[in-house]
Amino acid sequence: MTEPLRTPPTPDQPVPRFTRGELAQHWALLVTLTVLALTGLALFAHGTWIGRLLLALEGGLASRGILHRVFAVALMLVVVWHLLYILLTERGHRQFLAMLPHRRDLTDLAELLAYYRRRRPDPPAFGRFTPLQKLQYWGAGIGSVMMIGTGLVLWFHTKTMALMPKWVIDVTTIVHGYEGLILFMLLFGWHLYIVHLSPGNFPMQRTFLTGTISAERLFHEHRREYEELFGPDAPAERPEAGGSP
Amino acid sequence: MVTFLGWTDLLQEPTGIPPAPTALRSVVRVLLGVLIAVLASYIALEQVGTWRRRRARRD
Repeated sequence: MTEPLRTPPTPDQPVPRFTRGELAQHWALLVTLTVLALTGLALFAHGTWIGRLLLALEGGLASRGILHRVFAVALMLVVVWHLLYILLTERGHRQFLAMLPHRRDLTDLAELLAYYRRRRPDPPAFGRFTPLQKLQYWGAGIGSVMMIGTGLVLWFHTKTMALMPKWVIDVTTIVHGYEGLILFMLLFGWHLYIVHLSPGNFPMQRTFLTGTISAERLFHEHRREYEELFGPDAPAERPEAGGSP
Repeated sequence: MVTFLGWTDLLQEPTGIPPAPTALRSVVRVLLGVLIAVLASYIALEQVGTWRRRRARRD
């Protein structure tokens, strides 16, 4: 375990939170899922004006299909990249362990809801990842793996039909479409809300750009991680060097 | 009808293979509705809770 630093940081001091590689993984996932969502939605909602608009913007059914498959392969590569990062690097392994759900997450979540309902004076002391961040990570992770699996069944539907009954394809079509819609909602609705519109975050939480978080935010939003790094004292302004005359 | 990847037309029309299970689709739609309701409730609770705390601090 890391020894806490004795001197409390200044409130604005940036504390490293994510590495460049981790930010790159986030960007790669952001781009691939955005294109996949838009090209998938064009087909899923083909009977509506938004589906027709997306289809026109994507150059029709044929080019939509090509785009969707190209970015599906990109998503597979991103997932493999992430898995290798978890399995082969110590940092990735530690990050993954911190992301694992624990019983404490349930009590933290209940305490957070109690805080919003004014039944508690303070929010709970979260660790490196809050229960909501874990929920988004696992939602996106499991969702991506499911989308890849069902997508492959649909992509190679002729071969699948030779091996499996028709109902498998029917179920896969429904699961792929609606799981895509759920993923779209989780990422483009809820995740964007948390990053941009949740209290204290407007216009945006910049950690996904810089990889850092201010000591003040870390103290309030990830108290247990802060205490592991800096000890129990809150961030404080340091007196000017040399003092005033 | 244009359907997912275009394969359904090929399979369903000439041979009369049973249509896709609508019950499953209904179940998934209900689950989707529940998820939307849960997320919307959380957002409302967070926004209203924070607003009330800020107002109480101001007073």
